Amino acid sequence: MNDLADKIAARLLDDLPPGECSELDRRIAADPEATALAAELSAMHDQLAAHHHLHAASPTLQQRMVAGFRTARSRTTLASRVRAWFRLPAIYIPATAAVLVGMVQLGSRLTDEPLSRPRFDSAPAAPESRTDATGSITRATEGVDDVALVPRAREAFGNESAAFSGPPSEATSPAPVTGARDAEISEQKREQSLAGGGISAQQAPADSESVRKLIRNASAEIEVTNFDTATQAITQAANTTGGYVATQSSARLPNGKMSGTIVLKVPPAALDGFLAQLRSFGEVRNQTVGSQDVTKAYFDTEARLKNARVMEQRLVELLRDTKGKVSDLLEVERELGRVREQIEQMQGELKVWDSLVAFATVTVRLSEKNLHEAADYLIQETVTLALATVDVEKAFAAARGIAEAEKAQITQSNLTRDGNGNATAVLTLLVEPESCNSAIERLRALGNVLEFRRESNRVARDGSGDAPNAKVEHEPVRISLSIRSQDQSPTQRTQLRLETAAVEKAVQALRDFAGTHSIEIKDSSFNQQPDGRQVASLRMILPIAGNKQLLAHIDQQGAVKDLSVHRTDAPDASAVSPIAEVSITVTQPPRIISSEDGLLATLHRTFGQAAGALMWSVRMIGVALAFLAPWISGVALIVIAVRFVRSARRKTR
Amino acid sequence: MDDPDLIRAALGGDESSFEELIRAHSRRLYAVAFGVLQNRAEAEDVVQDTFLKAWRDRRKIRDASKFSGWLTATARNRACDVLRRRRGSPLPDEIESLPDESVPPAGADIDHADRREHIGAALASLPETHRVALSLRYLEGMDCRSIENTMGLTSGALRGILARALERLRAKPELQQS
Repeated sequence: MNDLADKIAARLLDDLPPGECSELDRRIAADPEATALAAELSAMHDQLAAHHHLHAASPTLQQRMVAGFRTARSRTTLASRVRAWFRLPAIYIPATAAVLVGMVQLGSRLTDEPLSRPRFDSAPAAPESRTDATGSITRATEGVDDVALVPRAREAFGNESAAFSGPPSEATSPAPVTGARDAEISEQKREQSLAGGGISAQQAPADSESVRKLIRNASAEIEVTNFDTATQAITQAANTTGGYVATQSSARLPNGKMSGTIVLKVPPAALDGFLAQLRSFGEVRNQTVGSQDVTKAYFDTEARLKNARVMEQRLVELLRDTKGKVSDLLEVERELGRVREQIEQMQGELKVWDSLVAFATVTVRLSEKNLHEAADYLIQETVTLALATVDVEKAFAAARGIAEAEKAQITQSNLTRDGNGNATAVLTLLVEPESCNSAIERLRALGNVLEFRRESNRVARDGSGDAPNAKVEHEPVRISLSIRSQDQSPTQRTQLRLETAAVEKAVQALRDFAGTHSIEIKDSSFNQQPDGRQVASLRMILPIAGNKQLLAHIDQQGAVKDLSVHRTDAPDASAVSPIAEVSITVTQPPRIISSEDGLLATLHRTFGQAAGALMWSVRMIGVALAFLAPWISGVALIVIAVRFVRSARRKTR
Repeated sequence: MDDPDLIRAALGGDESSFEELIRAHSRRLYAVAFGVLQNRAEAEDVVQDTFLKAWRDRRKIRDASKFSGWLTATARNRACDVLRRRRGSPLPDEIESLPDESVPPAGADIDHADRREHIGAALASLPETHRVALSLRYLEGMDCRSIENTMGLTSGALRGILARALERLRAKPELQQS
């Protein structure tokens, strides 16, 4: 039936070949069940088609989908825009930047506005907008930037700015009026301005070149070969330009070098030439040129002065009128005094400005070459000498004697002896350089030289660096001498064993001999061994000359055995007296039969060892049993339990 | 329908070309989604989501010839996702709620509604692949070979699928009585 249903389904799907269709029709016609099946399936097919037809896509589905897409596209978020920006090819960003830069450049060209403000923008751009703001220009010797900016400054200031830009020229820079003539002309102009009701900011540009008030000053630092010569030359140069020396100061250093400062007043027109001339006097280390524009302040003060004079004139006229009261007269007089004080103050200001404008101030600092080189040198010499000697006190006294003989100054002297008899001496001397070598040689001979160090140091005074012609002085030589005890090692060492039945008696005899012959017993010992033997040891220090006599005395006390002698000849053995060291071991002669030998002793020892071995084996067995007992007990319990269970089962069966 | 130039233009970001593709593929994708979900509103949402995803991921689709298959697979996966989420909550009435046999039908409209519910329940009991194939057949009128190619079915499999579906419907007495 499944095959029939599949074929019916295939025909419903129009997927059945025509041959099979006719065969299927015959089968359906012949078989009633097939007929019913075909009818039911066809009905279900219709219902299925109808069901899907009910849920078919809406005719407006496509339009709604497109509309939904457009709506979603229009809801582009900021994040998606950023993502889209980063998806752009990298070339877009520099291209955008290039376009922006190009637009900025184009705008700059069209508007003639600089991209960055020049330094001269702080100065007034036109005379009518000029204020009393002062601008000063510092022109370094290598000031490339200022040179480059000069045309812009000239453009901004007009021709009057030539004072800023190097040497003045007749064509471009009418120089400020010089000297007394300048003061005269300025006074005339001041009178003219007063007569005309004062000068205003709008009237000033008309002849600004002649009324401009510039205070110029300069400073220079010059290194010269000879201070006096340079000072004279500079003074002469200033006089030639019409200037003069305002102040002068100088100082001489300990090394003979001179330095100083000259303040000169030079006509402004000659300032640049004078500065150029300064270069011929020495090496210019630093040079500064500056100016201050006081035009506005000057003419403001002038205007106030004119008003004050008018006021003064009126007050004087009031005083002539005697009809007023006395109190009014007094009041007028007070006011007149105040106005006259103001007039004097303003006149003083104007005179100061006139003088500053009339002359430029040049401050020249002069210093001779190698100004800080050393004036002289001091040779400081120190000697450190450490000696070791057997007799420290004797050497110390000898060293003091040498110091007195060499006329040395003792600055420190110290001798100490500790509880062990070791002495230490310290002596510090100041010796004249001429007698230094002989003193050192004599001191070295006082003992063995452990350390010798001689140091010399040249110290420059009042300066630094090398000065070939500077004086050289020598300080007294400082000798630091230290003397300490010498541990003299023996030249000859003798070791021997003395066998005698009476050890104590022999030791006492040796002690007595040492006491009578000035022999030093360094250490001694005595003990009695378990077998009753007595052993004593002695170590003696004595002059090597007495060694032979001591050995003869030892030989009288018993049998001398195991004698060994070791001798060491030091290179400087002649310096000190040689000593000898004798080490003696005094023992009793050995017994002929040891108490541990013999048959009985051997048997006793053998049985004792056997018993010990037996006890050891018993102990080991005990340990083994203690180790194995828990395991043996456990196994036994298991075996018993198993047997119990088996027997119980047998009984159950 | 699958003009390679049109697809390439759309994948390159041309919105008008993409809108053309939306018009061309909407109904087929609806049939696929409806086959899975058996719900019109959900199917339309799936189609909309599929196109938006296609627009967002258009740079990832490099082969224009596979665009149609990519759309079908995406729509089917999205529909399956919706179906999984829905199974966490009660099924829509049109699929789950079967008519109460103890209550007699009140009229012709009620009879039609009951029949639709029975057919829907029978379809819901079919495998998802079968439902999609039937939707493509009855909703889109696609021929057997196209459906089998689209669904990755063997030749002649569709007649068996239809036969099983018809047998399921035939087994329901409610549909028989009507």
